[in-house]
Amino acid sequence: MNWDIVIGLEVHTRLNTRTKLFSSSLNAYGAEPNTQANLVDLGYPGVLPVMNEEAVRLATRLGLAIGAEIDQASRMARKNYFYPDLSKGYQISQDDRPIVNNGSLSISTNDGEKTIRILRAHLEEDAGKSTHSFRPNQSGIDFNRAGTPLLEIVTEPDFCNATEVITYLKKLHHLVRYLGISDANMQEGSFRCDVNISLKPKGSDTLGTRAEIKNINSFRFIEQAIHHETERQAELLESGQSVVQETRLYDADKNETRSMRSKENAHDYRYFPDPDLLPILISQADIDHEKQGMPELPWLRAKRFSESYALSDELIESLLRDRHHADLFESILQENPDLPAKLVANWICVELQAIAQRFNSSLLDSPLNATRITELLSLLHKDTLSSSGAKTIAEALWESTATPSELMSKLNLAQLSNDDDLLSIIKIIINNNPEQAQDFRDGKTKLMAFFVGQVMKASKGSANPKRTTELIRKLLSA
Amino acid sequence: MTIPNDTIDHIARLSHLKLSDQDKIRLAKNLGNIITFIDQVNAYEIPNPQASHTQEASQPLRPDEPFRSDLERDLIQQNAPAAEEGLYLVPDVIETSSE
Amino acid sequence: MLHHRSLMQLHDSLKSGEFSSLELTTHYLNRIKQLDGTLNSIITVSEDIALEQAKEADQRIADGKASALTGLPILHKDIFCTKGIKTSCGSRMLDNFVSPYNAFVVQQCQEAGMVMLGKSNMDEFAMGSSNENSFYGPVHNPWALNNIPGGSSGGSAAAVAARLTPIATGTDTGGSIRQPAALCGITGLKPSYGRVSRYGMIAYASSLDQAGPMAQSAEDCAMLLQTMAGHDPRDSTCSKQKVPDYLASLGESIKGKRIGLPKEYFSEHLDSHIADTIHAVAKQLESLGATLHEVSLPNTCIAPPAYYVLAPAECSANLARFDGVRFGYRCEDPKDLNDLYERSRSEGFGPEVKRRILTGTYVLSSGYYDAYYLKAQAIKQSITEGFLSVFNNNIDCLLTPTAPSTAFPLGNKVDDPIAMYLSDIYTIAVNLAGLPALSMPAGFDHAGLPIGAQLIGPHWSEAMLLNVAHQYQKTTDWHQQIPDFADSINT
Repeated sequence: MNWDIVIGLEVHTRLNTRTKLFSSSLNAYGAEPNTQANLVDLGYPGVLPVMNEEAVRLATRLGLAIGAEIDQASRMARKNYFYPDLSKGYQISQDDRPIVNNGSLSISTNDGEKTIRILRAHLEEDAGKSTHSFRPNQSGIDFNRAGTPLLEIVTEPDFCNATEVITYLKKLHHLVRYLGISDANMQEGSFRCDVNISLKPKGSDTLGTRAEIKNINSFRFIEQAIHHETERQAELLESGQSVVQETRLYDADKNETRSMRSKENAHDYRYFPDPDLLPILISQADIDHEKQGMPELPWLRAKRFSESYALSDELIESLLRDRHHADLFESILQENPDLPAKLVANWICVELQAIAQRFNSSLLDSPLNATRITELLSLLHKDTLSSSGAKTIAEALWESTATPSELMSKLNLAQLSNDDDLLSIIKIIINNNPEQAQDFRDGKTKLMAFFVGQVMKASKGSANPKRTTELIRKLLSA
Repeated sequence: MTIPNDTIDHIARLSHLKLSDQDKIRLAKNLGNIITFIDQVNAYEIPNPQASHTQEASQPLRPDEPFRSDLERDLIQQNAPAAEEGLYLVPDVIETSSE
Repeated sequence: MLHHRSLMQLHDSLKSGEFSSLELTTHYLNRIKQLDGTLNSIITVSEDIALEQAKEADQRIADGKASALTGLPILHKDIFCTKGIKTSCGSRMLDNFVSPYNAFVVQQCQEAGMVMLGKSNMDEFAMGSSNENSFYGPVHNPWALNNIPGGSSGGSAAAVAARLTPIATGTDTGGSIRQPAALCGITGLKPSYGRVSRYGMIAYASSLDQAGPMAQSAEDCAMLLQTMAGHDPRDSTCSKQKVPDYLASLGESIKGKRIGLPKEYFSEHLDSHIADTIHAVAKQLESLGATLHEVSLPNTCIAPPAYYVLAPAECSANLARFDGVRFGYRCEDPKDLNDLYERSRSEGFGPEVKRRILTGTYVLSSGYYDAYYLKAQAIKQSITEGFLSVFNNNIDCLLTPTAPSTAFPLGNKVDDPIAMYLSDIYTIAVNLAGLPALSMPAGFDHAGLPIGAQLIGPHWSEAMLLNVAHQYQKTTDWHQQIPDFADSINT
C-alpha cells in the first residue's frame, strides 16, 4: 500500500539574549554546574519572574520576518508537570495567547516554491539538564540552562517528506542566525526539533495517528529519524496494527525511535495564565520600530544581489550565509563602485575566509573592516598588487594597524604595471637575446616563458606577469 | 457528592501526592463537599455582565542586563537534601529528555 | 506597663530617651518567653538577631539617624523569607529551610531600623482560617485560650493582642489579616493588590496574596504601611502608584464621608450581636459627620466558591516547586523518582494543603477548566465591577462585619472544610477585587470575645481607610482593650 506522509515541526530556538527569560543570570553555555542558576532559576520559595525585554523584541523580529501577526497583548501561562530538571513544577510558556501567530516560510522543492504555514511561535523558558547515573542510580541536575529563553516555532503539518523538512529547517536555521535572533548552535542544543509524523493512505483526507519524535539536534539525524519512523509506521499499518499517539525518542547510535515510557502518564498540563506576570503589551510603535530596524530579509537580498551584481547563485548563497559578509560586500562596493562585484564576493567568501580559518577566527572579529579591504582590493584591481601579493598583505593586515599601501611598500610588493617601465625592460631583454626572439617569431611560442622569466629576473619579481606577457607578444609579433 | 476513586487517583497522580486508603476515604467525602461548593460558580449566572472597563496593567520589561547575585552555589545548596559536585541528586530518571 | 503603649508612643519614648531599644526589645523577649508557651504564636524567636538589631538601632538613635520605626520590635509572619533564620511557612515541608535572602517587606523593615523578634505561627502555607493547620500546632486566642485566633495570620494576631510584640506583619489572600485581627481584637489592614511587593513572600495564590500590617491601632498600621508599601521591580504585579503620607491624613475630619452598608453583608444569617455591633459603629461614624447609605453588592454570595476555585488552582502550581530536590523536606530512602516526589510531598504537606492542591488540580484538569477556572475569573471580574460601581456612585467606603462569628473553640470546624471556608465569607470578595480593607475592633460578644468591623475602600484608598478608622478609634476605646492574659505576668 502507498502512504502519504504528513509531517509537522516544532523548533525550539534559544534566543540570543545576555540574560535569562525571567531572571538576570547569564544565558550562556558551558559554565560550571549550577553557577548560573540564581534563586529565580531554582524556583526558590518567594521569588518572582520578571520578563526580559530583549526576548520580547527578538520574538517580535522573528514574527515580522515570517510575515506573522504579532499579538499586542500576549501572555504567559504555566504548563504544569513534574520533572527533576523543571525547578518550579511548571514551565512558564505561552498557551492561548502566543506572541507570534500565522506566519509562513516559503521553501524550494522539486515542484517549485512551497509555502509552509507557521501556526505560532511562542516564548518559553528552557529546563535544566540531567546527567544520568552521575552517581550509582542517581542523576545529577544542573539548572544553568533553566530559564534560558526559547522561541518555539510550530508549523502546520505541511511537509510531505524529509527533504522538505530539511530544506525548511535549514532556511529557518539560517534566518534566525542571520537576524541575530539565535546563534542556533545545534551541538549546544540551541536549535532543537520535534517532529510529528503520521501516515495516511495515498490521497486520503483523514489524518492518521501521529507520533512525536523529540529533541533531535542534527539535520542528518532528523532525516534519518523521519525515514525510520515512516517505515515503522508503515510496517505497523500494513500488518493491521495501529500507531499509538505517543512521544518517541530518536536514538542516533541505533538509528531507531523508541517510546518514552517515563512520560507515558496521560499529559494533562493544566495550563492557566501565570498570575505572576501581566499581559505583554506591545504597541504598534514598538512593532514599527522593530520593522525599521530589521535588516533586509535574506531571500529579498539574494534577489537584489542577483539582479544588481550578476553573481552566481552559489556565490550569493555563500555571501548571505553570514549577514556580516553580505554587509561587508555592500560596504566595499559602496566605497569603491569600480571594483568588480565578483572579485569582492570571491575575496570575502574564499580568500579572506581561508585566512580567517588559519587564524581560527572570523572576519567579524578581525581588524579587517570594509575600508581596509576596499583599499586592498583596489590595489589588486589596479594591478598595483599581484594576487599573491594581495594575499600576503591580507594576512599581514590581520596583525597590523598599517594600511594595505603601507604594508605593500614595507613588504616591497608593489607590482610593476606601467607599460613604459615594462617596455624599457622588455626591449633590453629582446635586444640581448636576438636568437630566441627570432625563434619566437618563427613560431616557437613556448619561448614566452623564457622571456617572462628574464623580465621577472630583471625587475626583481615586481613585473606584472600578465601585462608583461601581453607586451612581449605585441613587440615580437610586430 | 462523593468523588469517584479513579478521579481521586488521577488528580493525586497529577499532583504527585501519595494518598493512603484512609486518606482517600476522608478525601472522597471532603473533596466531594468542596466540589459541590465550588460547583456554584458553574451554575451562577452573572447579573448584568458588563464589558470590562478596568485598564489591563502591562507586564513591566526588564533590561537585558546580567546581575550576578552574591549568593554562591554552595550557600544556596546548604538547603539541598542531596547535592554533590554542584549537582542536585535525584533517583535516576528512566528516559532523559526535557520538554 | 511598657507593652500597653502603642507603636507611636513607643517611638516617642525611644526618641526622648525614656528607655533604649535594647531595653524595649528585652522586655518583649521576656514576655514571649513567659507567655508564648501558652499561646504558641511564634515559631522561631530570633533573640540574637533582635538584640543585635536593637543595639544598632540605639546607635542609630544616638547618631540622630533614626526613622519613625527605628528601634521598634516587630514580628514577621513566617511566610516572609528571612535571611539566616528558618522560614517554615507553618509547614513540615520547610521545617529545615533557611532562606538565603530577605523578603522585600523584611528588608524594608530592617532598613528602617526595626528589630525582628521572630517569626509568627500561621496556617500551613497560609491556608486556613483558624491557625489549626500549622505543623507547629495551633495558636491560642489570648481572649479565650481554648478558642482559635483566626487565620492564617493567627500567630501575628494573637501575639499583638497579647502584646508579645507591638506590631506584626501578616498576609491576606482571602481574609488572613482581617479575620484574625477581628477575632483577636486588633487592627489589621490588607492593602490594595500591588501596594506591597510580594517578593520573598511564599506564594499561596499569587493573584490574591497581599502583605499588610497587624497592629494595635490604625495609627500604628499607618506607620508600618508607610515602610512596607512601594514599588519593587522584582514583583511584576507591584504598582508604581505613588505612596502617600499615611500619617499626615489620619487627623482629617470624616465629616461628609459617605459610608455604604451593603445589604448582602447583613442578611438574616448574620449573628444579631455582630449585626448590632456593626450598626453601632455606623452610628458612631455618623456622629462624626459621616452619612450612611444602604448599597447592594449582588455578587457577594458567589465570592467564596469563586475564591475556592481560583486560590487552589494557583496554589496547586505554586506548591509544585516543593518536590524534595532543591530545598525542603525529602522523604527517607526514596526507591525511585516518583517515590521521592510522592512521599516527600505527602509527608511534607498537611491535610488542608493537600486538599487545596487536589482541588486546584481538579479544577484545572482537562475538561473542567472552562467550567471552573474561566467562570471563576469572570465572576472575579464581575465582583470587581460591582464594587467599583458602588464607589463610582459617590460612596467613599463600605462598612461591614469582618467575620460571621467571633472566635470559635479549637477543633470545632476541623472536620468540616466548607464551614471553615465560610469564616471568610465577608473578606474574600475584597481579595477577588484587589481592594484595600481593614478590620478594627468594634466591641465584644456575650462571651467577651472581640468583634471586628471591616472598612472597604476603592483601589489605593488606604489613607482614607486609615483616616476613618483612626477617627473612630479617637472616640472609642475598643482597640485599647487588652486581654487579661496579657497582664497575667508581672513585667
